[in-house]
Amino acid sequence: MKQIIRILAGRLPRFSGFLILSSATLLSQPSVSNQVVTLEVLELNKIFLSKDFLSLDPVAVLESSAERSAVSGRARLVWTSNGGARKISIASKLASPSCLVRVDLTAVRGSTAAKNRLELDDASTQDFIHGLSKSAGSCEVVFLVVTNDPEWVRPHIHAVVYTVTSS
Amino acid sequence: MKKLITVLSVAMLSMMIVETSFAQATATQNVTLAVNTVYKIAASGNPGPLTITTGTAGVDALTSVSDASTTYSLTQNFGNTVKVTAHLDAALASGYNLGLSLASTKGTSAGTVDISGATSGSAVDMVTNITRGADAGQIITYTFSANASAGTLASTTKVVTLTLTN
Repeated sequence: MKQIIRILAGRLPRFSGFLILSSATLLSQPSVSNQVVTLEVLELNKIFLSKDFLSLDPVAVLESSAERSAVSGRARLVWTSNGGARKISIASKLASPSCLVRVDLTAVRGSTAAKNRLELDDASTQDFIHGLSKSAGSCEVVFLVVTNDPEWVRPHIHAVVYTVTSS
Repeated sequence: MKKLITVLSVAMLSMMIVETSFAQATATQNVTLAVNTVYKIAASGNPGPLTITTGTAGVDALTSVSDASTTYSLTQNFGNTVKVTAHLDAALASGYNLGLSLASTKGTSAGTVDISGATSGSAVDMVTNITRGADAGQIITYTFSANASAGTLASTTKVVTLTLTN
């Protein structure tokens, strides 16, 4: 028994040192504070056309050989969508059968399946750019007015509407 | 004769005072004083929801949103190399970015730091070289940004842990 006490007594300083060290370590524990942050991203679809108003002059007669190279006006269309499987459709209000507006897409940037050409000759809505999915992109829209009315006198007004919808 | 009596009286009075002084008792106490290391940090509450609602056509980066409605306070007596670190409970997905900025008058603020990928094993320094003392009511600013290519994000909560350590 005395021997055990002697051994314990011999190790007491080291044991005390360990206790003090442990206490100091506990006392110097870092302090923490938590905050809860709520994050959300809503779906957004944005379209912007570089020109709101285009004055288009008839530069080609229907079936003319010159119509392909003729350009009446051009604008740049840019978009951003963080939704999945979206498309841009286009429609012309006030379209006239005697005045055909051809729309060509060039310089398409972004992941899309865009139509190269479509014609606006009635008020129907047509798919313009497919496959918008979580991306930003742009293209150049080239307008060509083709008329079968050789005596083009009165102005024709097309209100072209671009809409982002679900594919 | 009168003068002699006066001198003797003064002498006797002085002896009485001295005797009284020697009769005083004293007691002593040993007071053990210690100041342990103190680290304390506390935030004023939670920031408001950070909701991205708009962007610019043709630009992948959506319009970021910020919140600076909360503050933190700290007290420490350890030394002049104390710092505040920050981390999330889980990293954000790619394309989403959470920036954090802690103002400070007692230390050096790192400015706006991206904590999107900072977890408990990779906490980032927000304020360093904090000197001893207290710093109260310092503004916490969160900035949340996202790319359109990352898609939408349903309302999600993240726990941000601020740690005062050496």
